[in-house]
Amino acid sequence: MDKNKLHLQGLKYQLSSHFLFNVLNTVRALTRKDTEKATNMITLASEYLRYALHKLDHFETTLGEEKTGIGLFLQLQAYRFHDTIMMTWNIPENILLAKIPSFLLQPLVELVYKRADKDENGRQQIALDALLKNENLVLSVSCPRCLPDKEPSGAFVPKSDVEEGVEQVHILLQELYGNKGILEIIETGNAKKIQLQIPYET
Amino acid sequence: MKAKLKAIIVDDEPYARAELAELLAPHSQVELTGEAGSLTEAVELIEANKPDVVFLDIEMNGENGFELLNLCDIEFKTVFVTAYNQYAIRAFEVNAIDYLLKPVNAQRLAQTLKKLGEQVSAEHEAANELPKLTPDDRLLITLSRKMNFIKICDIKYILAAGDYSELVTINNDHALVQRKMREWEVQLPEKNFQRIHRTTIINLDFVDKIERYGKENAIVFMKGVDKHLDISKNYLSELKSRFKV
Repeated sequence: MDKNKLHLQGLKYQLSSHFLFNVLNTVRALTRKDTEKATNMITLASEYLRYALHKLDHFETTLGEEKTGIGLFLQLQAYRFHDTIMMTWNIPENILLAKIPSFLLQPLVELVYKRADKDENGRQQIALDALLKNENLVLSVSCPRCLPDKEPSGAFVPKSDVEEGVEQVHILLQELYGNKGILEIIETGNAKKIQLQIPYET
Repeated sequence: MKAKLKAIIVDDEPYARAELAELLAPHSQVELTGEAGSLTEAVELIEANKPDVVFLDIEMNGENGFELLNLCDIEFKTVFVTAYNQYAIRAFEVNAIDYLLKPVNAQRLAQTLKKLGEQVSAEHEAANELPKLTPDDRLLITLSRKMNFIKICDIKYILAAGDYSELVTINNDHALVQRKMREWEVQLPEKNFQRIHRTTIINLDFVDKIERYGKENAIVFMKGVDKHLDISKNYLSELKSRFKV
């Protein structure tokens, strides 16, 4: 599969119905129930849309820009589900400008967010760690407390969009970096970590 | 006056539930009897309320709405309500009434409800018109490509197969018949036949033994059949109240 096609698929994933139409549905409900929240949500959704559309003609983005986009995504989700998401960013200043493919991180964040369980204070904790290791950029998205993965109970249960998104990331890595791109899912007890490694570029 | 359609909404997003409830409110033929935010809640609610229709979201907090159809023991109509458009084909494979995209268009919902109402009343009427059968009545059935008369009392058990059902006879012959479980339930003599699961009706005369497992479940062995059949929680309590000395 060529790079353009992968890029388009990434964009499709990011703008696909699974997110924006759900956000629009929530906004419609909020216009009746809580106009202030509805206003805030429209602002956030517009910023998110601008961020996603910017990627249309950019194969690459910076880690810093992805951080902003993911932040918007999580704020929108928190509105939708009345969730409190504690996002911890452990990204050293000097690598915020690292270049990464446009559609690499969000599917991983989405998967972890989906599995994140609430702690005793009702908060979901997610961390994004970035570090440099032997000329490689190592990025990991983790959650200390995840819901157990469920086995589908029978026929007719299709694969979720998020699972497909992560598969897409895997293909993207192989296409761009061959065996230098690594994606791993590490589970320890209830904790889940998705880690990826790519060559460091600025 | 026609009975109201009992409905429940299953969606993990509170605002999405509220929005759909708002859209359903003007339709007086629909009575919203509950809302569930997860599949576990949904199964409980469905078993308690026995709705005619479930408005079902698909991707929910790591769960998939399609799973509900495997988890529930009660028949109901399904209307999928989702922001995803890629599950439509799958939805029709499981005989969903309709597939609505979020945000739901009010006119489109009205069409869905019309279709739903027509289908539910047609099924009720059809079921009521079916003649009651007695153990000595005969049905003309195709067994191994040959037509034959089967006495009602020679039906050992019946399994659901979509809009069809699979009939197993006294000789362990199998036949596929174009008849739904609900229709069998109306027609078969109550004294001899008992529904034990969403997918199974048995002839009580062929019961070999029933074994309990766990607190709420049981299995039944039929005479001359190696494979056991599951009795679900709901029907086990119905069996007990019907037959307990």
